Amino acid sequence: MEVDAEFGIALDYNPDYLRLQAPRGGLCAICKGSKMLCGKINCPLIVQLTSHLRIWRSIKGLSIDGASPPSVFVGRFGYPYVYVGPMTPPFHGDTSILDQPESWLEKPIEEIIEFRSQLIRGMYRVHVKEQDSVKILEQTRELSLSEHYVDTELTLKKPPTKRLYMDDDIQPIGPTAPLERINLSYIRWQPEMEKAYYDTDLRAAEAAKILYQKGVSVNDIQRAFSLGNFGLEKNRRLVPTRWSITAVDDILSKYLSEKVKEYPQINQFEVYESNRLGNRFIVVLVPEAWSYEAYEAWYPQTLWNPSTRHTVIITDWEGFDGRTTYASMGGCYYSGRLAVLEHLYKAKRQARVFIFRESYPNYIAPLGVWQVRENVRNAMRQIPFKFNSLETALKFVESRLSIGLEHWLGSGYLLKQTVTQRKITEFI
Amino acid sequence: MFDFEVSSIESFRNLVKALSVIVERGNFLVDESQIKLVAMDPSHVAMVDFELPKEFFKRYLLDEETKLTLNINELLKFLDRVEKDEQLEIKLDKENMLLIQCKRGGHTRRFLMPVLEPVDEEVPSPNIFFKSRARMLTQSLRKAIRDASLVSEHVKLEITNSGVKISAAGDMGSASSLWEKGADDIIELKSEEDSNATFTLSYLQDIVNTASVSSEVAQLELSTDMPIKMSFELPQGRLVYYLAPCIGV
Repeated sequence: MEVDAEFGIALDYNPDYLRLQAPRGGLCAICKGSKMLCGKINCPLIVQLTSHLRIWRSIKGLSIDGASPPSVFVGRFGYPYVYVGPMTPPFHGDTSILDQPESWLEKPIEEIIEFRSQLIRGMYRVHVKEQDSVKILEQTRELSLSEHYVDTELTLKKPPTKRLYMDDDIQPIGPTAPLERINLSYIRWQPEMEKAYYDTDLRAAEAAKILYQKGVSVNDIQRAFSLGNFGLEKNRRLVPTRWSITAVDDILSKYLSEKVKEYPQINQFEVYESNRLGNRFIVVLVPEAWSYEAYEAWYPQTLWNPSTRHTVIITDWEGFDGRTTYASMGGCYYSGRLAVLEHLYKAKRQARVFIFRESYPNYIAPLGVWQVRENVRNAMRQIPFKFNSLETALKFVESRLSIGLEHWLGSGYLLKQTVTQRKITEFI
Repeated sequence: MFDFEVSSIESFRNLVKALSVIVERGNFLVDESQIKLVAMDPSHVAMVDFELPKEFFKRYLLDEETKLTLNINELLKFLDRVEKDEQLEIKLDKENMLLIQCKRGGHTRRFLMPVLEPVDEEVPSPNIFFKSRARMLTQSLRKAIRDASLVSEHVKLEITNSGVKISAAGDMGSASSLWEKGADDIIELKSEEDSNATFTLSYLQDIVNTASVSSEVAQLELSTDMPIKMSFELPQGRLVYYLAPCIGV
């Protein structure tokens, strides 16, 4: 996605670029946020601006004094020299909700953007393998291992840029500024993470699995993982937040799939649904050996599809043995896979899985892949509709989606394969 | 309990590899005259019917008929460690562990692998009357499927009285191989009725690639939109696959 890449470059290299600005040559000049000419139901620029203005009044001078949820960020541009630092809002109290996507599914998009725009990101440039005791790095590390919100004072080198960064993979990121120093109050480390941190013979993937088994939330694991807190001593390094999110989704879902592949197959066709935050997810489980295909359809005039006429469908799949290349669909492929495998693992059942996602115009701004994970988790918590044949299941699926079945069938592989492939047992 | 000595590690390993593309967990039946396996893949799309007579082995000692369930990929990992000029013995011990023992010049290596709980799966053979049949060189078949893999995930097979055709078409273009009746690579051709069916390429490719190492001639039996039967001729034993078609691709 080109738009995404340009946004990203701006993140670390050219802060001015991303100031709230209407796209050139677009309809915004005529609309000015009042006529909704782009087709979205809220003007994304106005939504961003409103939350900005509110927070801006409370940022004074070069000192930010507040409670970090805790939250940290590792940039990816310039790798292996990356910007790392804490994120904190300019106020105190229990701020944990600001970095807790597990609790955001039922909130309006505007509120989530507001949560995130309140977090001021301090940036400090280090090499990802930095071993010497760099104080800011050490403090950020401590924050990433904390099990509670932490009073945090950031001293900035210059005033934060007035911008909000949004992207498909990571949660929105608020104003940003280079860091002079950090003051932290007392931190209690999450005990399981502390154990993994001091175990320098434990591989990072193993550490992630153990923490997950012990009930640490995926978001907390991802946060700590990005600061390079786990793994063999010589391999430890910072992992840009965006990579860390997908790495952890991938590690955990691979681990679950190995278990799930041992379980008996489900015996009916099951259909689950979740419809939150401007996205509809339909999950279809087919009585077959484990395999997975994800589809996402962008309606005309939605976030990543400015076309007024054509819907864009992106898809990726894997067979029983998994995949070895990165899914072209990006991080949401992996977060959806994790959410559905969590369900199969709990149910002790195996299935072939299809996830259909339709994004609607009221998905006004990208929120990060957690949205996919939580939406699919929500779908899997519902009572499924059950069917005795693929045909009836797909007929029902079609009635729940706006895009006709033939478009989904025409753009992917596994679904078509499932529909057309006969079985030997039918000829016995 | 049994005790076998394998005379040719290469051909034994190739046969196990040919099974591994279909079967995860193999339920072998070992009796006084042969080792037998009939199994389907986890999706029940393909089936293999395999027999290896005792004459294949240098030593074939067995005290009673035995059901032996093995993870075939694990077995293959061990077999991959055996070297060509080693003497290979395979035994089932009292503790129900499979012993793979390689010997050469006074040096013995032993691998032990667990025998799994048998899975209950009666696998009857498909009951199909085939309208067309062709015997052809496996290498020729393998190359035609490889060609098809350039353009599609499905491949169409046709057998008529005038010849054999393997073709595929996709967004990337199309590919086809046509053998006329009497072509060098076709040994026998018989068709009561023009027959054609389409198959998932990955299955067909896995089967033909691994089986063609052990077999020079394959017999294809086909009826329109029915499973294909592929019998790979072996010096000793039987290696037959059934593969269900795709309909409406």
